[in-house]
Amino acid sequence: MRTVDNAASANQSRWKKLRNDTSLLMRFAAMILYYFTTGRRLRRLYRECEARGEVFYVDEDPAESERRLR
Amino acid sequence: MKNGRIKPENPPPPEYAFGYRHPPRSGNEINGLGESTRRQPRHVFHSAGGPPLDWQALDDFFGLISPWSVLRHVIGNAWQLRNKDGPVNPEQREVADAAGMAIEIKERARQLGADLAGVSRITDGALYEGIQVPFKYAISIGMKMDREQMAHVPQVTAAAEVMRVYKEISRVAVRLAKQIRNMGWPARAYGNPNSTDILQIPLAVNAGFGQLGKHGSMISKEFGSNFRLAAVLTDLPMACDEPVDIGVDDLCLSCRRCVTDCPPDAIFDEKQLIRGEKRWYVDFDKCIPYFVKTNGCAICIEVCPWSVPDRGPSLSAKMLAKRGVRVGSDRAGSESG
Repeated sequence: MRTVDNAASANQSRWKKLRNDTSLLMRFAAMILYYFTTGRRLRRLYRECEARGEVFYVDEDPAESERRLR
Repeated sequence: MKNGRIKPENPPPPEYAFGYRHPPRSGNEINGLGESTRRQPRHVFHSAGGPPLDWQALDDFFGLISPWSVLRHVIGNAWQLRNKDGPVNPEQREVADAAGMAIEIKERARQLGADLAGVSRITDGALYEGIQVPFKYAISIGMKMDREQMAHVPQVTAAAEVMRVYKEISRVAVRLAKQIRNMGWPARAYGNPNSTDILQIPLAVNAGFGQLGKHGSMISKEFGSNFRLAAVLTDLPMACDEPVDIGVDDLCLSCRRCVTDCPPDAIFDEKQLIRGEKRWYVDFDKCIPYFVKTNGCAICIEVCPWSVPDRGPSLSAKMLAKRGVRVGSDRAGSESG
């Protein structure tokens, strides 16, 4: 999951700044949602792999990992 | 923790329940291990949102298995850094005395909460390949981490402390940059440890914070490696600090503490040839999987003898005296601390 290193915000108007801040908050919301949905699923799969002594492939679609673990 | 020394208790073994189906190019190759020609560094891990990196999948996995107690600080840091840049006061304060200005800026950084502050000129070695920044100077700032919290390496408590300090130091960098812009000079704060533009360590070395240690991290006389870095890039004219010799190489050449305590055995005993320069280097391909497994590890920086509180000055004096350097003749920490 990538963090946010957005472009420089020099010389922007108050409205543009507000718009950028809102957009950043939306990105955080999406990031947090992703962390608690896809992330939870991934963490569960990883723990399952760990318990079974198998490998969770980080470059594999989690759905594929789920099928493999079934 | 005993006598200020940290001994990790039962660190997990370097065995991994994750891996790559299609392994990426070696991180050591990307970092230029064994390369004899000089070139700028390339990004390999810790993307900040630019083009996907060779090790992106592991980086994404690292983020998603990070506990919320760590992630909340990452988000807090990113929120503060929304103000890393901003409008510059059209009335520019004239700078007749660059040395005086450097002192003033370092004092301001300390008042804002920095524990270390120093100034250097931005060099190519501190910029990633293909990156150009419209600034001449870097103000490096350092902030110490809570040693009690860091004594829990490689547990989540320590990882959360690392990210908390990054968030705090970003706050300082953002405020300092704003003060400089109010003086009529452009300035931008860099507090994201995943920055896609600059490398903090070369800037901090040039700003006189200390030296690169065997474990691949900065060592300062004041805090050893128990601190984190941020920077403010600016055009404000300032006299630059100089790199210092505090005797790190002297100790690292004989000390093996980080080498023996590194579970994945990632630390080299000798300096390596990296992009045309012999320097201390950590085996990326061995370090990063363990770093990911433990949410940020940090064993090497905490077991380092320099990181024992208040030990640095005497250790430095001892190392330099052994080499015949008169103690007090170096300027390590005298201006940066």
